[in-house]
Amino acid sequence: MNVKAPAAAGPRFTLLSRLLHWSMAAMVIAQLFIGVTMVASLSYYPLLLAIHRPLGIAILAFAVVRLLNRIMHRPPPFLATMSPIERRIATWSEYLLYALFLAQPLIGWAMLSAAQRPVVLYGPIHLPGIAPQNISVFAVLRLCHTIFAYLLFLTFTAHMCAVLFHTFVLRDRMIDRMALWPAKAQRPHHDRDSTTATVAPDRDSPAPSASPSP
Amino acid sequence: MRWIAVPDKRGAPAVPAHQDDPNHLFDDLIRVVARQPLRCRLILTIGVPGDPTNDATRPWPSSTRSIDAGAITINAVQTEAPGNGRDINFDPLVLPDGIAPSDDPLLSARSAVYARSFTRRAGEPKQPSAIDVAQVPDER
Repeated sequence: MNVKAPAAAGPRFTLLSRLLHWSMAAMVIAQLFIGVTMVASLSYYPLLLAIHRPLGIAILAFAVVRLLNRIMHRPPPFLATMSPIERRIATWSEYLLYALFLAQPLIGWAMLSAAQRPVVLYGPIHLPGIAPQNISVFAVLRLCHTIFAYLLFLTFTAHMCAVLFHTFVLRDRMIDRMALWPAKAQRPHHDRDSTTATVAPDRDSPAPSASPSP
Repeated sequence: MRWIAVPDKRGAPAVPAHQDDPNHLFDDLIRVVARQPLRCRLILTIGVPGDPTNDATRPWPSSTRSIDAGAITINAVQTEAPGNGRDINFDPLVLPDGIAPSDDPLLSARSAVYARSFTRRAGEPKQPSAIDVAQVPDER
């Protein structure tokens, strides 16, 4: 069996989906690093907190837009390089990411409300409280905010590793589906290359378990 | 601007000494306030350009103008309870509109440390206050 890799990875995500994906990726990764730096920093804590709050609300707004976009647009079908179980794990980790994108900003917002801290967006622009003032509620929400941040980081890392594995090890051009740059034309394959890029629809792929979806 | 609260000792009753009781500072304050209010003068020191604002350890010149801005009066003491001092984070960077923080680095450090201590305090099991104002006997 010596099947050539497909010339391209097939249909792409829509341009809107791709723009949302990459802007969200930049915001979420920045937010995760701001979060861990913030709680460990003395002098930069107020500055990072002042970025963390409006960025979290922006992520919440983008998450709502993405959810609507996801409901209205069916994503392109899975690549043949993905086994049935990998597809199931990809689907569920996509749902998990969406859930965390929505839950994490809301928990942060509710947490500040429970501590009766002003939810300052910028200058005098404040958000209303969404939870009763209660220090015990704050304690629970604050713990959830940390746990969910680590869960989000793990899910994102698994997602990234899976896509990189498909793109650079299986060479199935998975990242082209979400790329903002134009897909490169397929270079002619030598036998050695085509062997590494060999793909069969029913192949039991050893790929890691994470989502290649947005 | 810097500010200081200067205790107003005029007419303050003598405080009985109970140095052996670990709660004596709390108890004495409760007894004193029960008899008459405690007063402090709020003194504002007005800086001029060139006065150091980023180092609290460097005093301003003694010639700097001061204003007696009024009295702080404490006329009641309450037992620590849900909803009063227990659940508040005294963050020096949570400020009303119109007041901006200075370049004093202590403000950022206090804000960060208080946020951590508030979070830890919030997660502790809640117990009644060790000092109950109503339980302190008045030893007149």
